Amino acid sequence: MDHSYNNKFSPETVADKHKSVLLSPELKKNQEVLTQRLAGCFDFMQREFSFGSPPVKASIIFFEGLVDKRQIENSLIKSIFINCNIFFRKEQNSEPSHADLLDTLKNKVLTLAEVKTVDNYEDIILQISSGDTVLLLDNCASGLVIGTRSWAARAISMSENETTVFGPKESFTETLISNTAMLRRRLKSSSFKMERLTIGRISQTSVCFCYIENIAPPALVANVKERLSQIDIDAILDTGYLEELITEEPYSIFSQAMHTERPDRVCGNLLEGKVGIMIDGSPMVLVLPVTFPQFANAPDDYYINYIPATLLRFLRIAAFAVSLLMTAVFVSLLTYHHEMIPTPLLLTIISARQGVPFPAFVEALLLETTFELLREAGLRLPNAIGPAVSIVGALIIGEAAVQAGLVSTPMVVVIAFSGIASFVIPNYNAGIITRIMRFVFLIAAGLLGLFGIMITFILLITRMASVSFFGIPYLSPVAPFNNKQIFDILTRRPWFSNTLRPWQEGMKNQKRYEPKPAPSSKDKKGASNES
Amino acid sequence: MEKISSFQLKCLIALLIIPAAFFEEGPLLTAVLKNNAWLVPIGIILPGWLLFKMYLYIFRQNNISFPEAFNEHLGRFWGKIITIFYIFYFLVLCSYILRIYFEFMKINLLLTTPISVLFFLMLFIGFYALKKGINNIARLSVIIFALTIFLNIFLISNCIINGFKWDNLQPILSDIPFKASLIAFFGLIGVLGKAMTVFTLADFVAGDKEKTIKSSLSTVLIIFSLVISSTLLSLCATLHPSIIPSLSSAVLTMVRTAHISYFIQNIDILFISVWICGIYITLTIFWFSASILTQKAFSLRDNRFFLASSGIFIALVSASLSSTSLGLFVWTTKFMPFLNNCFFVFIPLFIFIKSLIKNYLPNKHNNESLSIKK
Repeated sequence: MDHSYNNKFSPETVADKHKSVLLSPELKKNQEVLTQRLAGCFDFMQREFSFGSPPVKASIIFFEGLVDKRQIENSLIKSIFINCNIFFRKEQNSEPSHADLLDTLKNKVLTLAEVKTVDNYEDIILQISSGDTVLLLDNCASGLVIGTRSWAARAISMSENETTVFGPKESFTETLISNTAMLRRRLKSSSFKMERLTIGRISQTSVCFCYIENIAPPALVANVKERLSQIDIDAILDTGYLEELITEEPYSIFSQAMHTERPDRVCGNLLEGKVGIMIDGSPMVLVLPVTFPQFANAPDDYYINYIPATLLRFLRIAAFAVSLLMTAVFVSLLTYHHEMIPTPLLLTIISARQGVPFPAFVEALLLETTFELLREAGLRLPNAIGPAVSIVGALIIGEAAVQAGLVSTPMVVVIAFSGIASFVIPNYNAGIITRIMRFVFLIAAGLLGLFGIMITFILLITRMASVSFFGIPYLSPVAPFNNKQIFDILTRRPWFSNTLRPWQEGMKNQKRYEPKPAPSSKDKKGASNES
Repeated sequence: MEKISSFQLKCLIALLIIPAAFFEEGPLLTAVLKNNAWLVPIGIILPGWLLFKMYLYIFRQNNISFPEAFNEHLGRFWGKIITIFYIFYFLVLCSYILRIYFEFMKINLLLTTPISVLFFLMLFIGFYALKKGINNIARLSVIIFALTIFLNIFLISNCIINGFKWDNLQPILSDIPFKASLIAFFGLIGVLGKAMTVFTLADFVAGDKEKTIKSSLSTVLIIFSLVISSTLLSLCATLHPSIIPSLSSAVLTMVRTAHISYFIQNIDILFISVWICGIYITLTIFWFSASILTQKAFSLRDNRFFLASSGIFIALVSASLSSTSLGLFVWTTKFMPFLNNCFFVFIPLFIFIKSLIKNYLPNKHNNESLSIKK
């Protein structure tokens, strides 16, 4: 049986066919077409009524659950009944045409903020699917789209994945307009642009990409816009879809965009000339382009004093190295290079490993796999059970395995330590890469010891150095080396010396901060005398 | 086409000559100059600078990379012949470097691992880097250079702190026979001459090519003499100069004496691991240069076939260089210095003299014609 995708009979082809079909002047025909198109949609609502004298037939259509019914009643139906009767009384002698009536309704009667005209079926369906209400009149080949969107949405809450001690706590929600508002509140400038487009033949998802006009390189903005507009897919359900669809290296495991749920982080990146992409229905925002060293930055680095922030950044870089290499190095030392371990320590390890039936490599592989299982189980299970599984896994099973002689205590300590170190990495995607690469390094260490680790390291950096996303090398500013920006990655510069934004090709405005000359001691003395 | 920056070029040239020199120069120089071996890299600064000036003079004549320069100076036929020789020599250098790497792996790290596995792994990562392009190699060289230099400084300072014996360096500047000095000089100048390879990459250099290459060569000359001199100094000071030539790997023997509070010890493996990175870049650059020369000499569009076939050639030549470690020692101390000098000193010197004469003769003619007119 041929399962290939046959475009001829796909629902989206039908939708495309209807896109060009304009509304009929007959209300009844319009209602029939819409009822037929939306047959099987129990939430599709139509309310027919007449108003004025002579009576004009009208119909409002919407999807239940997406609209504010009180607004429809008070600001739409009530307004029409009250105001139109007054209007008709005044204009008794000259009966207005229905097209004029639509204009009158739009401009003089309806008190809602968002009203626009629509003239084809596909737009009507798109608008009512988005929570708007459409008003259709008899003898009129167009209708009015009235903004009545209101649905049950998750309230703005604290960020769960990127928690910080200092700084803002709020995070994005699944509602696009609420997310854009969070950004607009922080960047109150006319240069802050948010462009909207629709992607997904079936999902018709609203996608918004934002940037700061005078900072983001125009070529980058144009590139992102072009790639987004070229996407032809049936549905977009999360920003993760977009990352894979617009990327230059689709087969790469490296994360090519930063996923964040924090508005302050998005704003910080926009101020560095990056582009943000939001979609309706996802609380995660894509920020691009990003480089690998950037993943060592945590959001609250910029909210605390620069000295502890820098030290914490060093700690994170060290934790990344530990998480990636510690198990592999331990296995290679135990398997191939015993002489590097000090004799008393070696004796302790050997005595602890007595009776363990597996070689160090298999033991480490088993424990690493178990650790990953526990971590994944903890993530997927409900909040109430998750921690319990971790405790049972880590304490009870771990203790039992050591007592049963299946694994040794030093290996448990090493695996646990590298596992904890992996939690220090502030970006989830970078964490995933580390977890995968840890296994690769472990296998290489098991096969060829430190030499295997080195070969894997060379391959890894060769791969990483060869990748560029949106024209920015993935390992920059380390490779290619940029002496001005390298300190921005290794340290958190104090704001008073952070005068320039990270450089990007085509960036027009690199100046971030204009330092004012410090008052001289003379001025200070003068000021104190005056006071 | 993305270009190589000045800093990347410096790292590339440094990694082209320093990693192999670590192991080549210890036995060679201490065998002939004993406790004074460490002075040679300092003394080589001036001749090295003159050598680089000579390269730059040839390059400046028409500002084109090799092998076009050979064709320009020697004619199309001889230019092509010399280019083919250089292609083969670059591949032989790759084979030699691969062999040094194998010897160290066999003696110090993986005693029972077959030669084919080690060769395959190194050639595979080299091939992968070449497929990704010279810019990628240049980017890598920055990371690896930083790593190598950092570790080198750490190890040398550690060796000096832990086992420095001043007596081993005594008496300074005595017993320096002329022949020995000449051998040491040519040994080291041949190694420095490997930097000539950078002219095959001239097309990839960003900005003012001559200026960038000139500054890079000068910087690398200083780094080279400092690194090699300090390594030889610590070698002579920690081990006795008389025993260094007899050791299979003097640098590793020295590194084994390094420790941190007797807790972290035997860190020679760590040293080898980082050294492998340096060797990898050296091998990759020579391989890339051979590939570029072939592409240009035979107007090839793609280098994939060349890379695959030359990979096999490198492995075969490497395996057949010698059957024993002693044989490799003979290559290190006899054949390679000779070949290095032939290809990186004498042939360029010949071209240099030829172009000097060529430039001088028209002036002479002009002067003669002017005097006749007068």
